[in-house]
Amino acid sequence: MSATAPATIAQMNEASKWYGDVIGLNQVSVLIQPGITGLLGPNGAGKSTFLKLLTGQLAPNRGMVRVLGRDPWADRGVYREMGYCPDSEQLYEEMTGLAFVRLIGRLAGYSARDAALRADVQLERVGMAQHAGRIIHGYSKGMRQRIRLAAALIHEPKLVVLDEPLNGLDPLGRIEMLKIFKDLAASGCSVVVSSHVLHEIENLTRHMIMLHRGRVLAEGEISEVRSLIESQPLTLRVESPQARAVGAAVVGLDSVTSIEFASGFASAAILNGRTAASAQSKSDFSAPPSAVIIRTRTPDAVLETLQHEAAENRLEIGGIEALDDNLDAVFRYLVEEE
Amino acid sequence: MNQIVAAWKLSLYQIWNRKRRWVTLLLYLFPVLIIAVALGVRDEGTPDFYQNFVTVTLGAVLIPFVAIYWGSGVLSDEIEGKTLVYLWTRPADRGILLFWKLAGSWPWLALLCLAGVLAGYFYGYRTPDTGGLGANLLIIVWDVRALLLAGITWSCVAFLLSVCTKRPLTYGLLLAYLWELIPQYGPGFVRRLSVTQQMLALATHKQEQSGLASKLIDQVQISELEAVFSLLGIAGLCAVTAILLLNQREFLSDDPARSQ
Repeated sequence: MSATAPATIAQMNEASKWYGDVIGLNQVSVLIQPGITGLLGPNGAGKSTFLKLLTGQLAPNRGMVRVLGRDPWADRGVYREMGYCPDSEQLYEEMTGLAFVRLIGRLAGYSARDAALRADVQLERVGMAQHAGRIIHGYSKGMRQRIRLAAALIHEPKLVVLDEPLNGLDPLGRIEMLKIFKDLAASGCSVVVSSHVLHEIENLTRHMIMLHRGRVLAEGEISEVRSLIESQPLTLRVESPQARAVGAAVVGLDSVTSIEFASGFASAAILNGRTAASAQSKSDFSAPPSAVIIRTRTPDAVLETLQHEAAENRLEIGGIEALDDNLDAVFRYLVEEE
Repeated sequence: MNQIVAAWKLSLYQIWNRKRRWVTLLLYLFPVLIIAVALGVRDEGTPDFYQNFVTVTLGAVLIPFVAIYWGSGVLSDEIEGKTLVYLWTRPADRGILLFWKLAGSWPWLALLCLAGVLAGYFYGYRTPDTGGLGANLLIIVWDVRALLLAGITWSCVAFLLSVCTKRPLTYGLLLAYLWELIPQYGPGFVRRLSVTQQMLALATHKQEQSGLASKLIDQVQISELEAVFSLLGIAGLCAVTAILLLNQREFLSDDPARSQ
């Protein structure tokens, strides 16, 4: 087997992994280039198996995995150049953040002095220098995530693998973490980051690998996936005391495929101009709807119309939520397309 | 060397973390509690008491328990705490790293052996007839050696069990307290598989006594050298097997060692 080319950070060739009768990953072939690569997939898609193969925690049943030119399963030396940040929240709860990061430094082979210096640098980098002296048990999810990241970076790896690093973070924390990842990439460190939320990856990189049921469903530029998404119906929920008026405002748009009114216990749908009841009982229709659920192929057009109506004070809109602006919808669509 | 120091720190954390701290303290106090109970029954001890205390209370009950408890926890605690991944993704041999963590518990085991033997000695053995501490120093050293070697062996057995089974503590204790009863009634070669029998062969109390320990010791027909090598052999075999298995085994996040 030839060594991975220097320009390629990691490579999988026909890699398969199964657990008994269950297939975790099925003949996956990918090349991971320097920079940030997003690994996308709904829960159960095989992301964790992919990352565990990549980080040498599992051996492939078939095929080949190379990271920085090495076999991560057989060659532990690869961990000198690769950092891994697991999705598990658990840490050594009674240690301080500083002690934990230093410990990881010692485990990486550094002397006490070097480990301490490196820990300080990385804790500063992830914004945890102020809180590093506190016991981990009292840390929030975001703080734990930062400490794990500092530990993963303590040996200044060429590649850092992040498993769902934004899970459970508040919006501000997400923004800060995304900035750290971008800074990492700017400093020359390659990043592989997994997520099941498309826009998180979209904010981070243009390159992604999309997994579904253990297979690579799509690979390449996110814009290509986004164009696929834009051609599929998207479901919007618009909260409004004038839900029927909202429905009336958009029902004429060509791209709107269905409208459904929702209140506490009832909903009614307008499909291609016909009205269909999907409520539990007819008596429920007596209550005015408080929201309208719109399925459309061009959400931008719908949003523009609603914004215009709201700006003209013709409609009162409480909030707009994209119900399926996530990968599940995209995957359903892509799988159906296949 | 840095990785060994880190592994020893983890061992310290394992033994003295909040979850285990009180259990550890209780284990250290156990010999003192036994002595206190003995004091309540009788004003002063006898060499016979000391012999039974070292070989039965410490050698057959306390030290196996502590060694198995700590030895099985080397891997199990990391699995339960979901922290194994931090050891698993380091540039170090995984089995060796955990072995050093196991070895980090041995100084604490030695301290327990020493504390137990000293407690027993000062209550039971220090009489005008038996002389002072200086005169009996070798007895203390030899008894600590016997207990420590047995403890190390038990911890290696537990380490291997933790790699192979889901309930290393249960199986370890079954081995220590049930299996170990069998060899003393079996033929000579079976006794060589018994950690307790080897430990008894290393005990220094060859004088005629009437206690349970004497009866047990009398049955042991293993030379001292043979006992040392046997214990080291069992410990080494278990440790090497565990290291090899750990290095070859795949690991999943929740229950890594038991994924296959």
